[in-house]
Amino acid sequence: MHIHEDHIAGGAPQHEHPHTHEHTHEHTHNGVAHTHPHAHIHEHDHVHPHDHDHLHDHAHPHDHSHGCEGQCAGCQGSCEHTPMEELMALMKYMVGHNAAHAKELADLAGKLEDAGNHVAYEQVMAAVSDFEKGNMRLSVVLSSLDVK
Amino acid sequence: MCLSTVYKNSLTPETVMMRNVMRIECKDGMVILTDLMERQMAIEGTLEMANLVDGVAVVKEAAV
Repeated sequence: MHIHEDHIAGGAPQHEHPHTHEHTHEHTHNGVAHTHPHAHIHEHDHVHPHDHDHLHDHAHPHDHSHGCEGQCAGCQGSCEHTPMEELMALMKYMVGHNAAHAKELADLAGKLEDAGNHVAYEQVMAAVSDFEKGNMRLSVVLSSLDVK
Repeated sequence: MCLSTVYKNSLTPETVMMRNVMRIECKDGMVILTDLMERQMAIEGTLEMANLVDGVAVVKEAAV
């Protein structure tokens, strides 16, 4: 994947030019596929079919090295996020997401109660309690990871 | 509300563009995806389908 941002290509429709642009390459660290931006100055020739000042997606080969060659060891220090940071971000999101769902379920239970179905209300609230216990367990794991 | 996986043109494992997508913007003929880590990916095309229950979306790439 190759992203041009605010790349103005006026003039001749086909030309060669050196330029700097930021692009991303998907690669894998410890089994987690991700991309991060690199900036390079290099020359290449390609066709600009029109003037544009928007994000642009195109695919063409680049003969240059990023140094990491898709390997984590060679990429250390330049990666924006480590696989663990990504896992933690995902887990934080899910804990918050689960809490929101628990609240939605509790609201749903309240509507069952309002509708006169107290048994169903109690069952759903019991489920909410179980749900919150599970989420609490996730939260504790997250806290322990945060400390390390 | 849930994070989504976005596919290009068809919903197959080989066409995954981005996972854990939290935002999809359609602007000036581009579809711009942002994942949980704030990484962005843009493609010329349109949002063809978004199933918010299953957490999947398909972007139709513009014809070259």
